[in-house]
Amino acid sequence: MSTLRDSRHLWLLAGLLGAAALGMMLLRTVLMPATYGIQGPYRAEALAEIAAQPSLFPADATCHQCHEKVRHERDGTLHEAVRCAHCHGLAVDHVAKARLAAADPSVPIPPAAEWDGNFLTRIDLYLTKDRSTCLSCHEQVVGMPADFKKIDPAVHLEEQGASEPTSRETCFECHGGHDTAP
Amino acid sequence: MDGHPLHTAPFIFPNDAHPAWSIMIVLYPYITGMVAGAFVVSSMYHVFHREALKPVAKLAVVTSLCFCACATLPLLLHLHQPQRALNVMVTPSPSSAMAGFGFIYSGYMLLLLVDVWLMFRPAIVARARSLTGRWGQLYRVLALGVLDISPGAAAIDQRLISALSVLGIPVACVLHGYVGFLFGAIKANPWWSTSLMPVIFLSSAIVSGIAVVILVYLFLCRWSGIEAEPECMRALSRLLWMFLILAVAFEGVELLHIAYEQEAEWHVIRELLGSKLRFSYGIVQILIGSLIPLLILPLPAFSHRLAARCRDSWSGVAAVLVLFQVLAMRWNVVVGGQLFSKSFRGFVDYPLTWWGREGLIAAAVVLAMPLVLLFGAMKILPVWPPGIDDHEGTIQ
Ligand code: HEC
Ligand code: HEC
Ligand code: HEC
Ligand code: HEC
Repeated sequence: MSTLRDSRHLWLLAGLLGAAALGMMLLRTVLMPATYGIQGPYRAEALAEIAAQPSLFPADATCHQCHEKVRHERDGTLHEAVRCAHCHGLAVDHVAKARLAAADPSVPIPPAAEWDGNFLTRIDLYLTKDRSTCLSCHEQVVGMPADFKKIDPAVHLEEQGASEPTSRETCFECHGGHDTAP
Repeated sequence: MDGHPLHTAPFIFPNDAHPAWSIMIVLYPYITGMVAGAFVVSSMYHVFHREALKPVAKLAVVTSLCFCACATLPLLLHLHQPQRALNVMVTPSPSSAMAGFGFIYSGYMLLLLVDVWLMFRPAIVARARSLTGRWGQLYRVLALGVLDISPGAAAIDQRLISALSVLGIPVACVLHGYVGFLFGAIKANPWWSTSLMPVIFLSSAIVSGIAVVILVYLFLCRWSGIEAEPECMRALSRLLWMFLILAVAFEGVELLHIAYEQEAEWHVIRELLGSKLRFSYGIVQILIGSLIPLLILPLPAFSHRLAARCRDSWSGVAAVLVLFQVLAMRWNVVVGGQLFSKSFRGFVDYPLTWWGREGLIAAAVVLAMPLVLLFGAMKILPVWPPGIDDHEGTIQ
């Protein structure tokens, strides 16, 4: 009996903590989103919500709507899967302007800029013939898949007999930008 | 450096162009570590009965609690949507390491709260009975309305405090070991991915906690014009020295291991240590923060002939240096680990700013917060000066 009396502050504390835990559990049922956990530790609804968002970056299919010629150039080549954005920038602005121009021919389409050499560039649309664009994917580095088409630039340029192996545009002596097959 | 293979683009993957974990994520393990470390000091007294540590035992627990209360502050500042912070516990993902931390942290916070409450219950009850008005009300709420302490109740509390102190040690280890695990388990980053990480974090955590207790104790002694207990200072310095040896040894072994294995990532880590981290690793962490304290700490720790003032100054200086060591170590791990591209072929920069949610000023405020809390706690509870025998229920 006296132990019970001596420890009543602890029972009170335990009661308080228990109540807090219970409150937390109740709160959790309120806070828990309805479709949470159905497919994994996230809101299942979120998938549909995200899918319904307009895409910020144009896909190649968007470019194809107007650039039929380029599409044909790349059709069936191994580079078909390489996105336009790799070599021309995200072109968000370009697509918007081009769409306006399609409706109203007096709207000018700004010409493409020169690439600044930065792979995280903020330039919207650029044209470039720079070997580093190609080498960002094709330069042989440790750990590349064995069957990927990769080159050691020095050896490759030497072997193929490039006339200006130090020039930035050297790859385009023999390869195209779109149909890259030599 | 133009033309050096490590410095020519393109080597950066889109997800490592910017170090996403800022200085706030440096502070997070720093502060959490002090929680665990300060607690260990008090356990040395409560569990291992190191009588010399009695003057700081309570102070250490309260310090630990104050740091614990601020441990998530840097995380909240780092989050872009802090109002969602609790989601990690409302809808925890079983595979999320951070969700695990949420629960471990809450459990530890609770343990500390109950521990402090029990330790100071006699004082709370005494004040609840003697004070009137707002303050009296506050203490009556804190006492949960139980306004007497029988000898039996005191004995129960004493046993519970011991039990919590024992339980607190593994939990403190789990808490901070876990913070190490958060980094050690990231396999994409060779500078982090090592199973030694939890141990490294834990040992440096204890080091920083002891250093904080030393500094707070010295400060308070000077403040109230009393002399620091010589035995206590010696014991603290000895503890600090011992755990510093452990921490430095683990850190050294880890680096040696990477260096000796010379795996693919070594070349980038070597560059990292030699360039971006030259100052914070070589100078601060190794030279100023480890070697010098290791050399000077034996003086206050073992010499009985040193004058008190002199001994306290040596310990104090060593404690400050050690705090810099641990801060630099957190920096070198957290920020250092993001300064090289995961392609291992080059580096990025971490621009440290003054202003903003994750700037230096915010960081200084975060670091000051636990001390402000400690100050507040001292207003409410008789944490200081030591030697108030609150089991009598008397408070001077
Ligand atoms: C609404 C139609 C439209 C769409 C969609 C479109 N473009 Fe264009 N684009 C044009 C027109 C029109 C021009 C200017 C006429 C020309 O030079 O052929 C042009 C020019 C260009 C040029 C050359 C610019 C220059 O200065 O020579 C590039 C490169 C280009 N587009 C890339 C893209 C890419 C990449 C996309 C997809 C992200 C895209 N375009 C989507 C209509 C479009
Ligand atoms: C592997 C790099 C690469 C990819 C991928 C690529 N291009 Fe090009 N593109 C080039 C190069 C190189 C040029 C020529 C630039 C110059 O002449 O300065 C060019 C030129 C162009 C031009 C202007 C000249 C022309 O041929 O009409 C357009 C328009 C264009 N590209 C559109 C596209 C579109 C649309 C896509 C995606 C469907 C695409 N490109 C994908 C490299 C690429
Ligand atoms: C985004 C990465 C990427 C970029 C940039 C890129 N390529 Fe490719 N390239 C590929 C892929 C993927 C293949 C297909 C490789 C495979 O299937 O093994 C390929 C294939 C090739 C081939 C073999 C084509 C064939 O038909 O045999 C050549 C040649 C080539 N690329 C040249 C270039 C040149 C020149 C550039 C620069 C204008 C360039 N690539 C830029 C990814 C890229
Ligand atoms: C002088 C002409 C020439 C130049 C310049 C040149 N190439 Fe080639 N490249 C070729 C030829 C020819 C082939 C086909 C060789 C073969 O199939 O063995 C080829 C093949 C390739 C391949 C496919 C390799 C494979 O494994 O099938 C790639 C990728 C490639 N080149 C990229 C480049 C890049 C990038 C540059 C610029 C740095 C470049 N080339 C410059 C002529 C050239």
